[in-house]
Formats: sequence, structure tokens, C-alpha cells
Amino acid sequence: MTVTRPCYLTELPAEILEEILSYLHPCLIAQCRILNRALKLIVESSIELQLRIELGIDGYIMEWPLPAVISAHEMLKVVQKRRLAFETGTPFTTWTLDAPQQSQYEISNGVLGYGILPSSSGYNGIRYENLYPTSKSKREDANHNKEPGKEIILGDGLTPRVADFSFSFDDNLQVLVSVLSPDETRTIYFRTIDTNEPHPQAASTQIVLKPRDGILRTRCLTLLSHSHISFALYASNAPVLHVIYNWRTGDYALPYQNVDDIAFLNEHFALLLLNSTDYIGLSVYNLDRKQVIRRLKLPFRSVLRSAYFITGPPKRARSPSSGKENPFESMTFDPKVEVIGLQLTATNEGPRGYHAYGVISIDGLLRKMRSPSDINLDIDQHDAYMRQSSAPTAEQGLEGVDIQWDEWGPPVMRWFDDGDIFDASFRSISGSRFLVRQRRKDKSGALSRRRNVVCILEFNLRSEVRSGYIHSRDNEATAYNEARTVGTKVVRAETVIKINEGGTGHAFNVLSSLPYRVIDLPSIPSEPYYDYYLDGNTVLGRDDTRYDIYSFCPSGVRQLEDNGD
Amino acid sequence: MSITIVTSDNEQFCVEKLVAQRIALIEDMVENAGDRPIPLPNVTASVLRKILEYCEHHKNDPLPPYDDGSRSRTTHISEWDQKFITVDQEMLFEIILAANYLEMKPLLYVRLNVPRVQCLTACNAVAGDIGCKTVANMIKGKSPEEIRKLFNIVNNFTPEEEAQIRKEAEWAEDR
Repeated sequence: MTVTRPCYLTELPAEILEEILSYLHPCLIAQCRILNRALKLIVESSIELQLRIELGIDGYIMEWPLPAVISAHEMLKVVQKRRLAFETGTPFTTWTLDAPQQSQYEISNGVLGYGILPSSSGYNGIRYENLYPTSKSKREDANHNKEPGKEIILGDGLTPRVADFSFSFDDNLQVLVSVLSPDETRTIYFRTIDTNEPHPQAASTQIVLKPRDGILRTRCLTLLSHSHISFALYASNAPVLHVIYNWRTGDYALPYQNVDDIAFLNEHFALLLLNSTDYIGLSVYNLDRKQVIRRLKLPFRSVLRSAYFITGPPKRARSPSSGKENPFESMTFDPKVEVIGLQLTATNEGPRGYHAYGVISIDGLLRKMRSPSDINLDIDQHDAYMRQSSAPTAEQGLEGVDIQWDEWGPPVMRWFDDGDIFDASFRSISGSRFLVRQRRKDKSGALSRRRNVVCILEFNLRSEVRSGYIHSRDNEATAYNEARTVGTKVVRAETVIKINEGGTGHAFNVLSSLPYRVIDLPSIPSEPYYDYYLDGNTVLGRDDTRYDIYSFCPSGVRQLEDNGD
Repeated sequence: MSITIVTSDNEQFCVEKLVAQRIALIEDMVENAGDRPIPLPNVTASVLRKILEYCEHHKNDPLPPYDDGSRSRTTHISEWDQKFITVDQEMLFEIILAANYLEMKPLLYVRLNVPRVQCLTACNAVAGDIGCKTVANMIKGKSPEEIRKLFNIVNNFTPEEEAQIRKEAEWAEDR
């Protein structure tokens, strides 16, 4: 005789079950629906769990009720609105910012910064513009639909001109790179944004960059991620030199190294792009221990003409104190589906040279580095895993464990051929989305005719499929499902692109299979902009004199009320 | 000074007041009870013993700082707590239920506005939390079948319904 043991789990009160499930990854929460009817009901009726699934929030507490800020229910509505706007390619609001020609820019967490008051090889000021629409009246009056930006005029004698800059409003930090001084050094200033004074948390308020190899480095570009900032020093006829500095501790996490580019994976790890005669590939670099953990080979045999990363700024959860006006500020992106882009030029032959783009799944990359016995490790523990995964004595400096392309690459990357994508910019990736222009054959016209389409390559396929059940009881279901079938194409199949290597005349096939889908943005013109950027909820189009801002962000709960929700 | 607590199975516990006060519900009842024993009709002796063991161990813990809602929600459990919560399923769920009944759940706004309760719930909140975390950890990395087997969950879907839900959840499988 079998004794039926009781099921203690399903006997728990709903709010406790909700609490338990909220500790799980959103994918797992969704999968718990399959266990039985009671659990299905709990997952589907819990606003908090639905919101976690919708936003892909894993590992962060959402504290509700947030007094007088926004309810989970309202938040869920806003988030779904935003997704619908993206899926249909219909921005909520657009406005224009005038900007000087060819100015240096940076986009970070909803703020655009760009150089103003240009003078020879530098700028005397920086203007910061909020990319979130905030006020109803401004939306209605298109001509005045412009956020009051913050303008910082430098030139107080300490920083006469700035060649490049990075900033973080979370840390009230702007990092200013001076123009090259006569002794070929550059001074880096760590200042507050609000008052442009030396930053109180900076280990040093300024540092001087002077690589002692006698090569004149005419450009210096910066990339800021949490406590780390990388400086890329370019010379006309020498490899790129990189250094990573921790502005809080004053420590150099990466001493001067010939590295083609750097992308930050998170607070503890960076990806280095190496392109030399003896090694072409990526290195996963531990910033805390200052060493390479893995070296991942790329499928190229001869040195590339150029190669660099396309990245999004680091995301972090924030206090939801900004309230109903901008609930998105308190949200992080799903770290599991973040991607990094890779643009390379194999050869300059032909009218435009040969370019290829690759997209790397960060999570896929981290997974590939685990041994099979660790496959069940919780992903949010990957930092801890990586810290203990390599013996400090075995791997020093830029040496690491090599992994061949075939062993890691194809499922983790997707390569795009020349013409599949063109003119993607430095800041055209945000979370799992990559804003690109594609050149497509015009079906109606002659075969040779092609047209350009602005679209988003979405590497988070969850949002596409999950909409099926989330919206099934929703009024918007029909509109939504109709909308997403227009101009949306899912690509799961393996693709092979042919890469022509310069010089050698050698061509070979590269296979890749990271799935994605294409979302067209027909309301954003493919002309006359020469550059496109993406940040969270915003697409920016850049032409010679201005930025056009296309915001997919419903401006808080008020807009929901306007629309009668 | 100590107070007397009576469990549902009529066992009497003589508890140091400082320890007992770490349980929000008891703290509230002490004032009205005077010298009379405090009845806990929803908690058995074996479960209360565990809860008190927990309170005793954590009685000097500092208050975890309140931050801005961006706290990482990990399922990490400290070594002592892990040992404490290594019990059979029945006891595990009894502890979760008791912690809930004894108001050991963190109530954000209470913590924020009432410092007295803040001190009390800080320790207790964790007792319920580690139970929930433990169950979450048991679910992780298992197939639906394994989860059902582990917790004796009866699959009350028809095969057609189950196939439909599986289809809807396809997106979540590749993570």
C-alpha cells in the first residue's frame, strides 16, 4: 500500500508562495505554471510575479507598496505599454536637440551628453539632456517639447578644453579628458556634475596619462562603468593602448596594454579585444584580480584592419524616488540577455572595404566558461564562480586558458555579413537590443534596387513568445498580436557568412546561431541621419546639426490615465 | 525576566523576555497579558523550539541597513542558518508558516516608520526568509517532474492543458 504524503508546498498561503517564487529567475517563475492549477493561478494572478517575468528582473527586490510612488499594477501597465510601442515601432513622443557639428557625445542611462562651445581639438562645455519625456504639457506642444538640459561650461582655468568625457548621474561624476598638452600628456579630471568641482569620492581629483613608449597618442577615448574607467589611447601608426583605472580606489585595474578595445561585462569583469599577429580573440579579464581568466579565439587567421566593440552603458537599479514621472529609472535590464556588439573590418578592398558585425550574448559567454559540473550554478552567482574558478598562480597578466572558436562561438554569437548591417554606432546597443540599418532588396522594384530600413535586432526572444499568454486576457491582445506580426521576423537557424581576409586573399565560412528577431521601426527615417543611437527607451538620430529623439517611454502613469487605462 | 508561552500542544516555555520580544506578535501580546501565559494556538512545541533557537542565536545581530530597493535578492544562506534549516519538509514548512503567523515577515513601511518594530522584525524577518529561500533553492535546477515529485505536487492538468502550457512556456526554457 502506498501512503500519499501531503503536499506542504501548495498548502501554503498564496502570499508566502508568491514570496518563495519571487526568489526564482523569471523564466523559472513562468515555468512553475506547469506544476499544477494552484501554482498556475498564483503566478498568473500575482502582479509582482508578472512584472518580474515581464521585466526579466532577477535577484533584485521590488519593495511594494512604495508609498505614493507607483504600484506594481501600474508599473506592469507602463512596461507593457512600452513594449507595445517598441513592437509596433511607434514612439510616444519625439523632439529635437540642436547640437554642434561632429561633437563628442556619450549616452548613459537616459542622459545624452555632448560637447558644446567647440574650439580647436576640444570643447569648452558639456551639455546634458534628459532623454525621458516628463511633462504632459511639453508632449502636447511639439515645438516646445524639449527638456531643460543642464549645461556645464568648463574653462575655469583648470580644464580649459576637453577632448573627451564620460559621466554617471548615479555617481554625480563626470570624467574630463584634457586636450593633449605640449609635453604629450593628458590630464584626467574627476568632477561632480552638479557643481563641476573635484569629486569627493575620487581617490585623486586628477591623474595624468603618459605612456612612456615615445609614441604620440593623438586621441583618447573613455568608457565608464561603475568604479572603473578605461582610457583608449590611439596613435596613427601604432596599436591602441588601453588602461583601466578605478576612480574610487586610485588603483590601475589594467596597466597600459596593447588591447584593441574594452567592454565591461559587469563591475568585476571586462572583455578585452585582442588583434595581433599571434592572437585574434577576446579575453575575459578579472578587474579585481587583474588577470585574464579565459581567452576566446575568434575565427580569423590574419590581423584585422580594425575591430571594436559596440556596447551599452552599465545598467543599475536605482531608488524609485523619481516617482510616477519616470518609473523606468528604478529598473535594471535583464542581465541574462545583454549583448555586446563587435564591428570589424577585415580588409579595405572594394569601395567600402569588407566589414562584418558580430553580436555576443554575455550570458552565453559566461555559461560557456563553466565546466559541465557547474552547469546548474545559479547565474547570479557567476561572479563568485569566476572568482574561484582559476588559480591565481596559473594565469597571470594577459595569459589565460585558451578556448577555440568552435568550442564557444557558434551558439553564443551571431555574425552579420557586410550589408546585413551597416553603420552601427558605438552606443547603438542597449540591453538585448541592437539598433541597426539594414539594406534590403526592394521586392516591388528591380532586383538591384535596395532600400535602407531602420530596425532593432532583439536578442531577447522571451518577450516575443511570452506575450502570448500575458496578453491573452488583455484588451490589447488583438492589437498587440496584429502589430507584432508586421515587420517582425525571428531568426533561429544557423547562418554561415563568408569572410574575406585582407591581404591573403583567403575567404572562409563562419557559422553562428544565436537567435534573434528583427523589429522594423518604420516611423524612424533611414535618412538623413548619419548615426543612430539606442538607450533603453530612446532612439536617437544624429545629423549634422541636431539630435532627433524618439522616445518609446510612456511618460509615467499620467499617460496611462490620458489614454483611459 | 522571563515570560511564559503556551503552545498549541499545551507545552509551556519559559522564555527570556529579551528573546521573546524579538517576535513581533509576542511583543504585542506581552503588554496585554500581564503575568498570564501567552497562548500560541497555531504553533506546536517542536516548531517554537526551533524558532526560539533561531532568535537566541540571532539576538545580537545588528539591524540590516535599509537601502534603496536595489538590494540584491540572493538565495544565499549563512552557514549557521543553513544548518538550522536542514530539517525535513514538514518542519521546513511549519517554520515558514509559524514565522508568517508570528509576523516575522518584513513589512517595509512598518520598518521604516516605527523604529521599535524595526529592531524586532529585523531578526525575525530572516527566520521566514531563510525558509522561503530554502524552498526556492529546492526548486532551482529541477525539471517540472522532479519538482512535483519532491513536493508531492499532484499534476491536476489534463494532458491537453499541460501540452498547451508547455507550449506557452517554451520561451522560458532557454535561459
